[in-house]
Amino acid sequence: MTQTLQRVTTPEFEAFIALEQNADRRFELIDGEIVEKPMPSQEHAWIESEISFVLKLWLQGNGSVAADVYVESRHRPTDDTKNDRIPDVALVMGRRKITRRGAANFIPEMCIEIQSPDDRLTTMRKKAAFYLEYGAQYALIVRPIKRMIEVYSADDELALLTAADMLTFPDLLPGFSVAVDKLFPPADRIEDES
Amino acid sequence: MTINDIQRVTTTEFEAFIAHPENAARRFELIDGEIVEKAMPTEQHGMIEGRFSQVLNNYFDVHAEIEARVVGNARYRPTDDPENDRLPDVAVVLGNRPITRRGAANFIPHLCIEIQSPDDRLKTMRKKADFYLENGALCALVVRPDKRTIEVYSADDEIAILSASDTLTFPDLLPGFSVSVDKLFPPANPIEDES
Repeated sequence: MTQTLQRVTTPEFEAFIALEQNADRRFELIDGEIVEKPMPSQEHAWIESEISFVLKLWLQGNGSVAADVYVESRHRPTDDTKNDRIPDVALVMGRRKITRRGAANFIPEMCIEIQSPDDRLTTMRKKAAFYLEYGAQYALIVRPIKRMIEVYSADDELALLTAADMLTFPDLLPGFSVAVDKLFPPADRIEDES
Repeated sequence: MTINDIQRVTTTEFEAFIAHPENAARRFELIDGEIVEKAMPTEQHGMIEGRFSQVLNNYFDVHAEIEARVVGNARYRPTDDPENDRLPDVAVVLGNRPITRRGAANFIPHLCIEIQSPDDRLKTMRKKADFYLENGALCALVVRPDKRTIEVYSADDEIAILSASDTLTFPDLLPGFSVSVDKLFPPANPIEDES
């Protein structure tokens, strides 16, 4: 189905995802192209849940910083009719209204993408660049196989964090700090693919 | 005819544009159909370019069994791509392809090196690295003099960020090649302070 559709705009995208046969599937609109998002594996979900947990926990303890954490919510840049994206985890600063239907009309301050086994890094890095271009301060690519995180920031800096490093966001979440290793399931608990 | 008069052009129009007498001393690239002027190299930029060429040429002198050439600021475009014409600062071409005498070579070198000029945006440079890799390069470097670091992008999608204390190697491409990153940059002290 995704192959047959060529370039569409957001109204057509809305109609497409509303189709009954697409109800249980997840799609993104990437520069006018409908792309199916892979169903999350257990490892993917573990990491997603851990990242949102540490962010929420930190926000609870730091009431002076107003922000919300979202998992798999739809976002599109204001007035962009060719994009509708689903970052795996998103941090939205402030106390914005929470969208009840459809996509939120902005890109979160922090967008986190977790690599699934079939995700190409080049595609993921293009997503990170897209988020930064449309207002994100940080875009993260989390790579379970390597147990590392690529941190792209709006000032064009790039940091490659390995398991031994600490993940921090000094300007966005002053004082927040978590060991990269803790965001991944313990290595010995992950099923062997071979 | 100025750059702004032209919107999207093809390589044929690009050739006509760069052939204009007023453009003779300038350097242009064609990036996805857009003519972009390349910054004139500073002394720092030129030194780093020179060092890369030197260490690479030294390597090929010692490893005469590897057929290859080191090329500075030459024009390359992917085969059959009418929208691109690029000038990597330094390039390594492996093998014995005939050397282009006129116009752009119709392929992308195996190793492409871009050195950041003061006004170069990193985002733009990383897009160049991606472009090289997508069109046949095995490795692309983004060299950052202000940070004394090198970003190494490889065709297998890996990234490495090397700092001054690291060693630059290309195990698959140039076996045995090794140079300290620090040595590729001019000594920190004599660099003119911009402030």
